Order: sequence, then structure tokens, then C-alpha cells
Amino acid sequence: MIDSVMIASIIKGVSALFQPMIMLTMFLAVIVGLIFGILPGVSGMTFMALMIPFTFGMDPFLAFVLLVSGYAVSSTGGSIASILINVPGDGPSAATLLDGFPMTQQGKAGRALGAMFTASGLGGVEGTVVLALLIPVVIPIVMAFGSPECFFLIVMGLSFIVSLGNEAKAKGAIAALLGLLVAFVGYHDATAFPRYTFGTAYLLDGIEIVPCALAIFAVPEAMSIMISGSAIVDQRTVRRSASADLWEGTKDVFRHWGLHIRCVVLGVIVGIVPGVGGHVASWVGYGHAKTTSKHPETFGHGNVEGIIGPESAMNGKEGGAMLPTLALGIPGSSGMAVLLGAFLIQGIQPGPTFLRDHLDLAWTITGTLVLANVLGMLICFLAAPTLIKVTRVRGHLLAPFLVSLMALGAYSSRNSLEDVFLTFGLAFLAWAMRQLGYSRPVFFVGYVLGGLAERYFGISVMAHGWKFFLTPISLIIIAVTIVSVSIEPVIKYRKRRKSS
Amino acid sequence: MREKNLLFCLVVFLCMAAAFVATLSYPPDARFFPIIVISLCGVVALWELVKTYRQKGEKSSETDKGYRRRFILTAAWTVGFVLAIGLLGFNIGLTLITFAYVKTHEKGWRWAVIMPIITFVMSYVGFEILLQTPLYEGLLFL
Repeated sequence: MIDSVMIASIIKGVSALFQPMIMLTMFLAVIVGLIFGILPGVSGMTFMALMIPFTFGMDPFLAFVLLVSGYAVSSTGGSIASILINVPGDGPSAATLLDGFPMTQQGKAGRALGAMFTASGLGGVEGTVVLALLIPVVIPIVMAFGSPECFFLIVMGLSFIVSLGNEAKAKGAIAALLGLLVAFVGYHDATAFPRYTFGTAYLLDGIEIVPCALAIFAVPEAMSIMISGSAIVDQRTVRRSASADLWEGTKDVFRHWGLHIRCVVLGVIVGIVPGVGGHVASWVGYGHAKTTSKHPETFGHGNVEGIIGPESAMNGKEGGAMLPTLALGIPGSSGMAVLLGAFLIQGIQPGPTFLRDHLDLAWTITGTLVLANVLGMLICFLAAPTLIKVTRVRGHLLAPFLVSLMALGAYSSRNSLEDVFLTFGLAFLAWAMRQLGYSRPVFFVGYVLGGLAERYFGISVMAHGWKFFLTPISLIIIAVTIVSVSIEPVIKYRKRRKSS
Repeated sequence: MREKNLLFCLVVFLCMAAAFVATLSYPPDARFFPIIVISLCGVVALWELVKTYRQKGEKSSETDKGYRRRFILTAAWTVGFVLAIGLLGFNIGLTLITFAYVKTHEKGWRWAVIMPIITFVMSYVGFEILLQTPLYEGLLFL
């Protein structure tokens, strides 16, 4: 029910966004946030962490516009690097490169970027709108999500591995299992027992996601450019106008409007669940796009649906992740955990009382998410024709720059030289996998979700015993997982029966 | 390709065998998931090994040999980048190795000068000054 207090707070919260100082801050934060996203190793979370010291003593409205604007668009920046140079700016952007980079290699970088900007920008706006609509409804559901539900949500993400690998099933299984094994390196959460550390202190905290993403996806591609010496896009490829290509990509999102909306909703749901994060959202989005596509066989070879799915889910997630942070004081993602710190610095306690005492600020934050995404989308569209030119640069000039960027990215994720060594060491495994037809995305999904799955499984068994799966939400998620995994084989079986 | 596949599967299988033995010494809670994963991976790797062994091999062509030579060179350059960072740090190491790489692969001096400058600006101005990342200074300068 919208009462007068609500209307007054909406007016106050939204009108704050149109003050010149706040608008200027948002513009600058969006540009810096995009740059942070593009650079591997630094992310939206890093942006917030670096900016928090500047918010001491700042007006809370201005402070949160600064933090939220940069954070909201950073994943878009990450995906630009994924599509153009196959370097994931952050972990979740890795899903976008599976089809984004092959499109770039085919000379369709503009179309891939257009689809990404639109899906990501609109996803962020729609996710926020869904958040605003869901606030009264969803809180009880969020409260019902415990560790068993989180575990099965991650199992659902892992189940999409089946749909990711196009190669021989045995090779796909080996890749997934190797990824899972890498996730087990470091302290075991429940017992604090160090595993597979080879006696080194460096591995106690496990293998960080940024070095791993760079090693699996980026370094092998840079090596490939070094070997061939040619540009990312073959010089013989027909050049099309960048603006026409960008527009084509935008139209692609509207051609697959159903997929876009479904993935935004999936992203919001994943975002609402605390502790699951953007990695799950983007892979769930990718898996959903592939399982529901009419041409799943073209995924991994430059299918635009493979960009729309993860981008919609990933940016849609931010709206969802904001909900438990503001309403419950529980961060919905790691970025939101940093934002929670900013709230405390400002002397504001997020939680049930926040929506009562600071409803106007909640609307300012919601409005910032919308406006920053729109602004980010516009800036990206304007900058894209220049950015695309990087794909035509000669390989021998681009490769050393990329390798340097990767080394800096690997290092700066936690200022560790060992991360650089690990990145380039693991890259040789990734190179071997690439050459021998072992799916690297499958490996990466196993790595990203394996550790989370083990963590939630352990907590679930400790808290609920071995019957932990007998909760209504868990059973629903299990059912959805079984249906989504079995849908493709069932359709294939039916087709075979029809044809015979 | 068959030999490479065989070698990869064999290495994976041996690693899994070693990991299995190491994991047995872990506490039950800590080894539960890894043991499942290692066992499955070992079995699938063995299956793939046998399957590949039964396949017919192809003789490596001249193109393969040329590619192998280029791969070894690229791998050496990649290791060179890492060594340069380790010895000279990010700012100097990356700048020098970029210069060496571009000078080796491109004719003339123009790009051999421009690219190291871009790399230096990216590492020093971008990461060290703007992002305030304390970059590693190199073993020789510590």
C-alpha cells in the first residue's frame, strides 16, 4: 500500500538525484566504475573499497550516489574487456566471453557489445524495478532461505555444467572435476584443515578467482595471439560500420526479449539470496540461455543469446542483492558487504529499521541504480566505436600489452606476486585443455561453484542432519534442477523417436 | 594429437592417484567432497586413457612442427615476462620485456618505443599512482 509517507520519501529520494553536485558525482563515478570494470583484478568492489575513505564526513546521499553508481556499472566494464580481448574484467564476466569473444573474432564485436550494453543496462534497470516492487513480498521468502536452499541453488548452477560442454562428455567431466578440485585448495571451512597447500602459506587462502579466470581464459588467448602474430579479427573480415553493428546488437536483445526478462528475474532471485553472488547469477543465466535456445549447438561459437543471458542475469542481480542489504542488513553479495561497511561509516544501520527511518535514502539508492545503468549504457555506446578498434591492432603489438595487463591484474587482486606465478603456471594447464578439447568454461564453473557447494553442504549437514534436503524450497529447487537438466535429452529423444 | 591426449590423461590419472593417497590422511569432514571428486576424476581419466589408446594415431605434419616451434618460442616469451617481473619488478620489468618483444617482432623503432611507454604508463600511472597498488619492485631492487 502506497501511503503519503511513502510518496513523500519517493519524491525526496528521487529529487535528490537531480541536484547538480549529485549528477556530476554520478557522471564521474560511472566513468571511473567502467574503467575499474575493464581492468582485470580490480572490480566494482575495489572501487567501493577505494572510495569509502573519501565518503567520511560526506552527505549520505552524495556518498551513496558515488559508491552505488560506480559499482552498478563496473560489471558492464568487465564485460567490455571479456568481449573485445577475452580478458574477464571480473569473475562473473567470464560467462560473457564464451560467446562474446568468438563474435569479436568473427568481426561482430559491435553487435556483441550492443547486445551486452543493452542487456546489461536494461537488466540493471529492470532488476531495480523488480526490487522496488518486490520489497514487501520477498522479505519473508528471503528469510526462509537457509544453507540447504543455498546449497541446492548452487547445485542448480553446477547442473548447468552439463549444458556447457559441447565436447566429449568424458572430457567435460574431467574438466569439471579438475575445476572442483582446484576449489578445494586451502583451508576447509568447517574444520580449518589446510588441503593441497604443499606446505606453503600462500595457498592457505585458496586460489583467488581473478588469477584463475585470467589463467583459464585470458593468458591462453594472449599466447594464441603471440603465436599467430595477427590481430584478434582477421584482416580479411569485412568491416562494418560500428554504429550499425551496435544497433543490430541492441535489436538482438529485443528479438530475445523473453530470454532477457527471464534471466533478469533469475538474476534478481540469485541476488536476493545472501552469499550466492554474481558468479552464480551469470552462469545460471548462461545455462538458462543455452538450455532454452533453439540453437544450443552454436553456443561457444558466437551466439548472441550467450551474451544476453549472463549479462541480463548479472546486472539484474544487483537490484536483488540490494534488497537483503537494505532491508535485512544481510549483504546479498561481496560488493554489498563493502556497501554495508559504508552504511556503518555513515552511522546508518541497515536492517528492518532502515526502511522506516531512511526510506528516502533507500529510494535515492534505487534511483541511482537505475540512472547509473542508463548513463553507463549511453557512455558505452558512445565509446564503443573507438574501443572496437583494439581488435584490429596487430597481434605482436597487442600481445605484450595484454600479457602486461594480465600480470598487473593478477597481482593487484591481493598484491601478491605468487598470484602472477600461479596465473601463468595455471595458464599452461588451460593451454593444454584448449588444445586437447577440454572445456575451460566447464572447468571454471566447477572451480567457482565447488567451494561454495561444499561450504553450504557442510553447514546444512551440521545444522539439519542428513535430511537437510527435505525443506519445501529445497525440494522446489531440486525439481527445477531436474527439469532443466533433463529437458534437452528429453527433447532430443522425442525428436529421434519422431524421425524414426 | 593422440599422444598428447594420452599423456594428458596419464598425467591427470597419476595426479589423482597421488591426491587420493594424500587426501586419505585428512579428517573425515575435510576429505568427504575431495575423495568423491578425485575418485570420479581418476575413473573418468582412466576410461578416457583406454579409449584414446585404442584410437588410431595420425602422423604429425610439417605444419604441426612449425606450430610447435612457435609455441615453444611463445612459451619462452611468456616465462620471460614472468621472470622480468620477478627480477626487475612491474614498472621496469614489463617496460623492458615489452620493448624486447616488440623490437624482436616488429620492424623499425616507432612501435618499439611507443608500446613500452604505454605499458609503463599503464603500470606506473594507472595501477601504482591512481589505483594506489603497491607494485612489486623486483628481486634486484629489494
